[in-house]
Amino acid sequence: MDSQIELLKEIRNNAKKVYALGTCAAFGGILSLSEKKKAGAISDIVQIDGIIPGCPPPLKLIGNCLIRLIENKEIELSEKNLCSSCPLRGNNNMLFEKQIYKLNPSGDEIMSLDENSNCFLNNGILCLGPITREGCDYKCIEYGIPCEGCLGPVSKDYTSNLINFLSLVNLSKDLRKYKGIFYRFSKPKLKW
Amino acid sequence: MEFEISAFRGFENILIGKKLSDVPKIISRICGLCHASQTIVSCKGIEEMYKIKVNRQSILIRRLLMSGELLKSHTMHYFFQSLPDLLNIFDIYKKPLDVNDLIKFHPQLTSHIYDIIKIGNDIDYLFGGRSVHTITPIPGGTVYRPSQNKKNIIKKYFLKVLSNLEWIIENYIDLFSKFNPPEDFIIPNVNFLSLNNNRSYDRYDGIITIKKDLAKRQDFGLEEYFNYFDKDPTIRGIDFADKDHNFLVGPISRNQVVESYGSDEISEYLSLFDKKWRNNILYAPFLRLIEMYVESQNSLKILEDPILKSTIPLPNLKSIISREGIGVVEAPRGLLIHHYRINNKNVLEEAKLFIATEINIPLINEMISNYARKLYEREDLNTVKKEIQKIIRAFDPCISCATH
Ligand code: SF4
Ligand code: SF4
Repeated sequence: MDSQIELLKEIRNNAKKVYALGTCAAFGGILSLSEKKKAGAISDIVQIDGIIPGCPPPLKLIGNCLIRLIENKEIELSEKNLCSSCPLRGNNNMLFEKQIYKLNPSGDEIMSLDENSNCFLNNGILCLGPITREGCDYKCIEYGIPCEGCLGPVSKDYTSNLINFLSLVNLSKDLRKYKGIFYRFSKPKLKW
Repeated sequence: MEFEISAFRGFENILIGKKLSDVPKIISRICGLCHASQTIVSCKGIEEMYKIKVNRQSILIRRLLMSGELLKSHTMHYFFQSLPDLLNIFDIYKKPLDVNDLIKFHPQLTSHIYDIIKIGNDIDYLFGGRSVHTITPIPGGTVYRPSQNKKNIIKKYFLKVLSNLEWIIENYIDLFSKFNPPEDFIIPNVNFLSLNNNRSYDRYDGIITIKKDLAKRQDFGLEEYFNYFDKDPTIRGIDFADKDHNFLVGPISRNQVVESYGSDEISEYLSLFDKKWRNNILYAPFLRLIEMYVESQNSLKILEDPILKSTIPLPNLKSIISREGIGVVEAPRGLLIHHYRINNKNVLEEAKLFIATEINIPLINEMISNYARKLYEREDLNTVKKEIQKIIRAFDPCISCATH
């Protein structure tokens, strides 16, 4: 671990630009689920010039970022959430408190995308689209699986976004106690 | 001298308290190379608890995903890790090759290799939703909405892989089959361990076989694995019942245990290498090419199967029948077993993950210490370090997996 941190510092000292590629580097990643291990963003240790998030980072996103870097431009990520481009959004009405009692649809509930498909949240299934950055072309949703948030939060103030989101949905008792839904890819932080 | 993997990420611990439907998604993140195997073996373990019979369409898609993964993993290892060492060991290229030399070594080879890596990626993208951390295998089956168009693309891809591989394999045979394999790379007496289906090559279904001393074989069902090896998930490493011989998993063990790859071309290719190669770790790169060839042929057959056309609903996983479930597949690097146990709230209470590289580590260490001892007599420390790395690379250890 220490040698990895030294290596990172060395890279920072020698490189003109440093970008965090992937959700592990950008936010800490899946090891955030561990209670024993320390997982954090590389930006906790060195200053970085930007992130290319995702677990995995979508190919298109990597490609677009690389092109910008080659053109000597900064990386630009969308500031919108996944719902903003989700084809299931049509039926989504976020004004009502939604009852959510499930993490994943069972096999017989997996829907194929068509004009009649309903937003997961309307079906009582948790989808993290509202608090996840767009950029993956809603990959999981296309296959009938809700978003687990692998692209990470839209804004730096994830926690307040999350609180907002939780005020719009009503999680079942079981899900409220379940660990590792919202901080699956990053550890909670008080300050960003 | 010892090959030690110092980091340790604690996935067995992370899984405790998790719901079954969540486990495959989390476990996929163990490794970006064998993510499909990890996800699929996890689904198999969970399906055992529900005693669900997975439909044949789902199984075929899983097989395609595993073949896409194999193409990428094996090709990258062959080109970037094995080939430079082989060229060096057999004095075809005197100085060690760096990546630039390698890319320029044979431009046609380089482009053939890159094609296969890209195709492996694309197969998992088209059938798995993402090229890494595949989305579509879930407990109960595989979420799949096939279009004829997708299938046609993939068919062309596999045909392209086969023609590239024929060229690569024939070149490989020209380059290396005339040599005797070097003694320092001979695998000592070990237990070859592999999944197989009635002694045929199969990485999804079958029984487990241990082959000892190149002759004796012991077949057993998955549920008996702990008679031969086991682990305490809170402690690193695997315990083996046979204390006298190490275990080997991966292409060499598959080759030892399997009697048929189910293809005449393959038998012909294999016959071009002397028997002496079979228990030499430097045979593994050739077997990796062979496995890619076999699986591309099999995948083409799968793509013709009419069952891919039907719409088959996936089961609703309602009642858990067994509190424990074990899943097995052969990952590109070898046997992969997940063993789960849930508590009365139906969340995971214990997970044991048997990962290929972890099984191989004691043997890697046995071989490199023998080799190092011999080299010390005539070489300096730096040369020794460089030389033993060739053994380590030939095993294709996956640091990511082994630090689960
Ligand atoms: S919550 Fe999920 S399914 Fe619903 S609109 Fe957002 S991304 Fe789409
Ligand atoms: S839908 Fe969510 S979990 Fe799936 S790839 Fe996109 S951001 Fe990641």
